[in-house]
Amino acid sequence: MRSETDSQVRQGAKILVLPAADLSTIDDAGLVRAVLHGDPRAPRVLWDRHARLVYRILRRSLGQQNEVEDLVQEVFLSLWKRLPTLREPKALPAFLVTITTLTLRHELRRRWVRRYMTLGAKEDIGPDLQVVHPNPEARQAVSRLYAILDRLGREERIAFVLRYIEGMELTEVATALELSLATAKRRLAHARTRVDHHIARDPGLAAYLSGIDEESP
Amino acid sequence: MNKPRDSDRALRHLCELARAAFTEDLSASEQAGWSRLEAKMSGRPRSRHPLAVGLGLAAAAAAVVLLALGSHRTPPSLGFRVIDEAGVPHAAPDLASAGRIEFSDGSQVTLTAEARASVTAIDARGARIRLEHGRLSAHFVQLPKASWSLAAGPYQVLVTGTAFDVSWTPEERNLEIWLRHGSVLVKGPNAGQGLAVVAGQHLLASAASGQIVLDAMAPAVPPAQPIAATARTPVPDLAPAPSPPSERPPMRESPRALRPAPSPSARAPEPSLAWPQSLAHGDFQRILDEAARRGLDEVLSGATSADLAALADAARYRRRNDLAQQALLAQRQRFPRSLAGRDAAFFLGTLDETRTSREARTSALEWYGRYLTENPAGSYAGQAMGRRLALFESLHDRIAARETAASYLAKFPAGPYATKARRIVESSQ
Repeated sequence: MRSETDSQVRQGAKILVLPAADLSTIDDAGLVRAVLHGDPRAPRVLWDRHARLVYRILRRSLGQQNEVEDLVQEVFLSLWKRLPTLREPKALPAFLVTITTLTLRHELRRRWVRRYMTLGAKEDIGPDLQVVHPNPEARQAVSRLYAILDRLGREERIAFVLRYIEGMELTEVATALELSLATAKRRLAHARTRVDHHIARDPGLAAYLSGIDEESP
Repeated sequence: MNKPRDSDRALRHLCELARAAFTEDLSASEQAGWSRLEAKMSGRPRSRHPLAVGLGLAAAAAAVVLLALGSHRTPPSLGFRVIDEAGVPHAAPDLASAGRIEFSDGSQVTLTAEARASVTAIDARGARIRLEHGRLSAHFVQLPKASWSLAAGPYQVLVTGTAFDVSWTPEERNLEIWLRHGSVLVKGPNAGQGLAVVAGQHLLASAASGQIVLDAMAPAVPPAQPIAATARTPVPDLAPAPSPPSERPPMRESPRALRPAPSPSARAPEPSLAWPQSLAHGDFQRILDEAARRGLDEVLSGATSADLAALADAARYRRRNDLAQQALLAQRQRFPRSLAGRDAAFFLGTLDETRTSREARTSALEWYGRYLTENPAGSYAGQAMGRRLALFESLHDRIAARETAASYLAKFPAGPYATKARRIVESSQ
């Protein structure tokens, strides 16, 4: 509190030193136990600790920076309902990712039905990206990547996002999708082949990526 | 793109772009998501009566039909443009040094010199702005479901419709906020579930020490009262105005003599909506129109201190610098002892700085000097001294620049002008 700010502390100023909530320092296992024991503070701490993870996965899976709030709420409502079934409290993040991917599957299915009912008119996915990036070409490239992901199946899409964009391990992807490791590998391999195929045949992306290749070491 | 190595590189690059595009930063409304979730959790379970289920199925069928007839569209995202110090628009979403970011709903963020900020996300309800360092002045229009947030270091400032200044010094990890109108919620280290800051308050939060200080910025405007009520409070402070600086360049000259303030009973009727409130709603033009309708002389001589401040702000936001100057001069003449009256000197300096002539810069120097004399520990003291430093340098007054630089470093060793001050001091040795 030195320098310019010293002068701002006037007489009669109200000084607040606010202690952090006790629960904020305990680990996930303790937090889960606190929720299950009915500690009224625990759900909020759990939200504060893990909401960003859920937001991030939903955004990266759907290709939307915003408009995912309702889904996040759905994930957490589902979490409260299913938390008593969590056998290993330490595994809370993985459990939450699994619930998030389940919610994502339902959402992608809902969107597919809506698209089908509107006779193929694309909406919500991909093209309506609200990407803020200084480079308009990069912005366009992200948009095209998500247009390619729109062509994948639901599980392939989620597996691809978790593995290549989120950077999860294969075993984590398999757990999140509730698949065997072998099946998860197959899904990912198929998704990767299709994404590579579409990237190579997208003239806009090819032009953009060739420029990147030249600049890259 | 046929080689595996090329496809790996392409995919890696695209995934990096996607990671950067979709982050875990939360908007103001997303931060407030817990409240909605809590409300849902405490709600009663839905009825499972067969009739209700039947009605639900019927409603679902109707929804499917509606979806088939027309697709739902989310509202369009707000637009924004970045305008640098020279008034040149840029496509990039980040802005360094003096300039402003204008949003399509009328919201505006103005950066002081040597500040840096960027727009990290935007949607139909607002944007997320990151202040990397320095100070900015923000005015966010209060629209239904508006959702704005500002990130500075580990702090998040959640905003509805409001006007405030905020500064972030990364070296010391200090956040400061001066709330002019509306309210904000500050989240970050030791702020618990969020600390509300209301109009007239000043907050200083140190991420290094964990200390948070909340004190009054404007005693004349009780923060707990509605703005409309405070705007109608007669301000009896009619002490003689301080004499303006010795030289009076054209920009500072008031084109009209201010009449003595009439008695409260003789004052013109107050506007239907208090101007500070209109300002918080972003109705700048409404304030200007109403001032014109009531008569500028009448307003300058009869309006309350809060209304004059709102008029000056609205005029500045609308680039009506002449009108802003008149309102600020009236503020100083009629309410010289009030905080708004003293702060007016600082804003008069910033108005002078919008012109590039030597005379204007000299005038700005004088106003900043007057502000520092009257407010040595004021909210804008650091900025005023820093601007004086920059102005002396631009006027090639090396001796004054060096002296000001030394004073600045003694008082604000980690302030936003510290680098410039050190350079000046070192170059003169």
